[in-house]
Amino acid sequence: MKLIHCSDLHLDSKMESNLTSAMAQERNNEICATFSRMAGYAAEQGVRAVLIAGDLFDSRRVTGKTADWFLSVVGRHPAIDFLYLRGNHDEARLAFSGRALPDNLKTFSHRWTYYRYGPVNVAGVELNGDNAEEVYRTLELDRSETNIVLMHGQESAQCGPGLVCLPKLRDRGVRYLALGHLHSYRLGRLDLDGEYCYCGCLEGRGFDECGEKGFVLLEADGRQFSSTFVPFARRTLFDVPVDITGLTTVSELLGAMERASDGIPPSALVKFTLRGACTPDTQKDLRFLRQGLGERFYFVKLKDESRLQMERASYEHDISLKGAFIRMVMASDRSEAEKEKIICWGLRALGGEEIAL
Amino acid sequence: MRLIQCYIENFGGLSQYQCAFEPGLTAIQTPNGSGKTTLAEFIRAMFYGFPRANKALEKNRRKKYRPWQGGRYGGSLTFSHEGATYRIERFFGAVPAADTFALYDVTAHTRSDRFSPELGAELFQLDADSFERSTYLPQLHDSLPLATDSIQAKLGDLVDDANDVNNYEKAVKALQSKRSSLLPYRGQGGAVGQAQRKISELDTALAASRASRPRLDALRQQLEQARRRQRDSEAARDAVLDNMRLASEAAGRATVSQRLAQMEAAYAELRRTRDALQGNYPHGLPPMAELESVLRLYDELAPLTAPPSGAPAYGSAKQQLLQSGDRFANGVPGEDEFSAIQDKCQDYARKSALLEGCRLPQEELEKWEELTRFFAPGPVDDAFLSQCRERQQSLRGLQAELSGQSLSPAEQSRLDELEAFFGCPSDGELAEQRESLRKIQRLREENAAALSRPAPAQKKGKVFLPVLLLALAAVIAGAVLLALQSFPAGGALLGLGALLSALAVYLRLRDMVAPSAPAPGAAAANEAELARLEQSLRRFLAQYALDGDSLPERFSQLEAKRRELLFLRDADAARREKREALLRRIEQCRAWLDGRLSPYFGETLPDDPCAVLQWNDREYRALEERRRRSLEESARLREDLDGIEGGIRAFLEPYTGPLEPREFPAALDALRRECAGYRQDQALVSAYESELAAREERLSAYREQLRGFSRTYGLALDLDSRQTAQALRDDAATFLRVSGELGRLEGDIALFTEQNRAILDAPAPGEGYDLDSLRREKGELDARLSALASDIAGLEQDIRTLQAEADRAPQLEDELAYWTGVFAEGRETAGLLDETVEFLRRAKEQLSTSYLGTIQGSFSSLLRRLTGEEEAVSVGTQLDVQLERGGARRELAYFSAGQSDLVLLCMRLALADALFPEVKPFLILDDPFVNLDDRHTEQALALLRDLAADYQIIYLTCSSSRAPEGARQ
Repeated sequence: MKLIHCSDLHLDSKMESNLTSAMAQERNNEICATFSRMAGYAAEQGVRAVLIAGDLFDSRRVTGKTADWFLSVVGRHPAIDFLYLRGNHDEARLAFSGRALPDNLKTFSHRWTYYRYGPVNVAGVELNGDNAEEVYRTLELDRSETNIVLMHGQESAQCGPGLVCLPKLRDRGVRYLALGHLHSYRLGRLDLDGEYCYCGCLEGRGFDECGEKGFVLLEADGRQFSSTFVPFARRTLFDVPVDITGLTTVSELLGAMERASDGIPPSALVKFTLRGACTPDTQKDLRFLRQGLGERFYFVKLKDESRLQMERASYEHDISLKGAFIRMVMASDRSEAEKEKIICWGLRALGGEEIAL
Repeated sequence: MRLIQCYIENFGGLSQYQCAFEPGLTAIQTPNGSGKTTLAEFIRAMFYGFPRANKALEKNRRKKYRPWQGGRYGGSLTFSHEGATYRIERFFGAVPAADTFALYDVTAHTRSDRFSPELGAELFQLDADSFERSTYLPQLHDSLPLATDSIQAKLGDLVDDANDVNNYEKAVKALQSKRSSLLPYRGQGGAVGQAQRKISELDTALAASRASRPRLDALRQQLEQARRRQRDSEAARDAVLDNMRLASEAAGRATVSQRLAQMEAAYAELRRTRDALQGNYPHGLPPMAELESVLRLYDELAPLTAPPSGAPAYGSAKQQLLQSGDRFANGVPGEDEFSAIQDKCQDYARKSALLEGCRLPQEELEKWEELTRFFAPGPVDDAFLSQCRERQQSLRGLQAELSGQSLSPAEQSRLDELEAFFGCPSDGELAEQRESLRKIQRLREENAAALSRPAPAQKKGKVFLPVLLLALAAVIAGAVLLALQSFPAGGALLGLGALLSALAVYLRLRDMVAPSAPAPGAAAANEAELARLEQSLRRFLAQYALDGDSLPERFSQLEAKRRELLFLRDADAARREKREALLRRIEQCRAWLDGRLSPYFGETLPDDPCAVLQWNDREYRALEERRRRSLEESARLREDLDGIEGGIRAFLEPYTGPLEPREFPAALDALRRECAGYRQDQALVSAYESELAAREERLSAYREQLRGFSRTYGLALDLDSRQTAQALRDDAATFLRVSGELGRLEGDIALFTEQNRAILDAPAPGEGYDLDSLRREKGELDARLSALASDIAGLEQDIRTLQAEADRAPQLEDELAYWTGVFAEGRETAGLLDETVEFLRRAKEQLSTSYLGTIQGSFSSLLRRLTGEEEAVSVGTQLDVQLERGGARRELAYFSAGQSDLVLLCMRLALADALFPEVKPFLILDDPFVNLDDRHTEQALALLRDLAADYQIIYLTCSSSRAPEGARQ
């Protein structure tokens, strides 16, 4: 018996990676396509059920097109049950309003719902403010069976809305606690026999979701049970720190960034974070750097966290306009980042150089 | 830096003006309009050129100072700098591109590139405007404010990096430009404005999109309600349909009962019919097959009772047989016999045609007869023909040879022409004239040689004798050396002697062979002889029609024509002789052939008699052979034809009488037809008689069968009519049909009863329903469902539309977030840019204050020297001066013109001090003291004299009262 545990697709969600509107739309389409691909994979592998541990959609942003598309994917695989548990971002009532649901789309409620697949018993519940305490008391599992519990929330030692209280699920016969909410894969021990797992999202959407994304393939054979993370995302997001200390020209900066991103596939979305120290003379032309790397990757984002390094002695006794300017700015109550910008722009303007905003 | 002198070629009103400058104070006092300001402007223009053109005349200096009197626009200025003396030469055109500039090192007398055309800026580190404001002092109240960027930059020398100050304005402009690109200082443009507009648009669109969401929810609820109503109506319609079904069932049961009764009534009627038929036939009804057989008997019997159809033909045939009976008493010939005789007839005709065909055609026969007459003198054989052919060929050869024995037409024509127009000179005449020509040529050569070699005789022998003497000397010396047994040298000298001897011999021979030039007297004789000879030769040549100018040319032409004529004459004579011999031989051959062939051809032979004789011989022989074969074939065919004719006559003539052979085919055909008709009549009569007998026999048999049938079933059938039998058959058929229908109906009733037993036995719940009202009710429900379906379709359409609108929200939100970010970032960046500008401005102000102290100190000192009083003054960053009066700082506008001029003079001098702390430049003062009173004027002039120790001062004034002592007039 094979099952798939996935979650947090966040279809139609807002992209958190500063993509343009067109690219964000394309990325949303890619997430849909990845889910469709996963359903195809499930059919090929003989998977009996796909467990969706919440946040399939993203609140009220669900479009009619996406809802129709999701239902058509489910409808195309009648041999597979899609067990859909709503998460804190889901608003299924709106998503599927006015639409006929396929028979193989199974849902859960605020009370425990059980589905049986051979030796596997799947129990799921949607948490809210009312049942956050109660669900742990009402869970009924036969310890002789392979029990999979499906929930959506933050793992916690406490009970509460949006929290999955792990201690209250220990020694209850849970073999696999399939969780949704966190966007990175995480596997942990629940008790002696059981484990809990966040499968992570299917595709990364923002640079807080870097690394491999995919789903978990569950296989139960009698008393034998295994879970395997399957990387499945079409694109991967990377956060690449680049130390620019001592670098001055844009070509040096570009070279450092290229070296730091060596090995990252062109399909990736890459965020370069410039770190270290720079001087007012550092040619930190972010637009130029972004364009220089834009052709290497699907999407490039630049974040400048470098700090302006100026020796006080270098300007303290500089009897010139530049010196007076720097002293005045440095003495101001502006933030360091603002000081850096003002000094850079002012010095570039005095030097007759292009002012890169 | 010091000005030495200037020369103005043309500049404004000044022309050919020269001025030398003192190292200290140069005071020039001239009336108004004499060119003081022009001189000052000239000095400025020498250092800085003219700025870009300005439309206003006051600002367009190039135009303003264009020479009034015309001429070259410009001049030169000599100055010293850092120990060297330079001369600037500048001339100006209508536009800057037409300007010229040259700098000369006067000390080194060379052109210098020490400074560029921008030498003012390079020397003073000030732009033209700042130069004016610092070193040029006009009437002072017009010259505010003093501070320019360049002055401030120059003052910035007080600080470390003056370039920053110099670039301040550009930097501020660049920053402000960047700021404007984001957020203009006026209007709504820029990236921020664009983002703001975009945000506004997106807000509107998003509000519309979001507004569609509640409407979408409401519509979905309406849709749910409509669908519920649809389901309710469908349920109601299903109930009505159930009731309709029950009502239909009740109606169906009545129909079933009615149908059963109808079936049972039909069954009873059929039984009555069957019983009646059974009563009419006590012996039973015969089977249908038997009845059908009986009816067929009647059908077969009916034609037998009518007379046979061939009766008339039978009578005619019988009559024909009786008439022809005697003629064919011995039998009728068979078809085989006719075929054999017909073959013989055809054979006879074919062979008759062959007999006709084997005869020689008439034309061949006539030809044979003609040839028989031709060869009456006797036949010819191959030997005879061969001899004749040889003779004939010989004759032709001779004739052909004869035709070649005459000149060609061209040759003949040429010969005739030469004979007619060319009198042929004799050999003697020609030789004599040829000698004359040679003599003429020789005389000409001699005369020509005499002209080209004036003294050849003097050189003759001059070379020969020394060579001969050298040869002799060499031989003698060689002989002596040999005698002294010096063999190599002796041999060599002997060899040399031999060579020289050979050379001497050669030279002697050459002198002898070389023509000798005639003596002067002989040359004249030559000329006379030459003329005579030429005249004689010309006369001779004139007899002949010759072309050409020169005598040799005409003579050679004469010789060629004579050779041609003689050649043609010889050829003509030789050919004439040969033709006569050939004609004799031709006559002999022709006589021989006439003797042999005239018996056949008569006196006139054809062109080729041998060929004709041979052809006729061959043809005669062939015709003779064909005639012989024809006669043999005719005899054989005649014999065959006689045999065939006898056979045919033996067959035909017993029936026809005597016949001509040509009548054989027609007679045979007629007899054949006659025999065929006889045989046909025989067959017809025989067949008719046989049929009559057979009919009678079959009639008896049929009637017996019918009588037997009647007896079996107790019927009285009419043997001649089938009416009774047919009625019987109809009754039997009716009986069978009724019996069958009874059986079928019985089964149908049983089956119908069985099938509808449930209906027939069941209670009738639907009997109370009115089917029509139920149908009306169903119709109403259908209409309601249709309306609901339409409503649902409309709602679904509206939902789709609203859904599309609502679906835009995520994208609009994304775009809004993006543009909000752009807006915020733009605003923030614009704010930071503003702050950058502000920081720069404040930094510059701060920097300015660092040199103001120096200027202020110098200013106060100068002012004290001029006024003799301690004044409380303050100098601003723009070098604006304020004086303290009445406890308050006041601008110069509050003071008199004279006070202001004093202050400004001090300020300009203090500024010059600050600007040029080390190397002091020249100062030009264009009557700056017009507003000063006498005391202050005196003090000011005294100050100038003091300053002249440090500065070169050029002081220009129009008034003697303001002129220092010693001022130039």
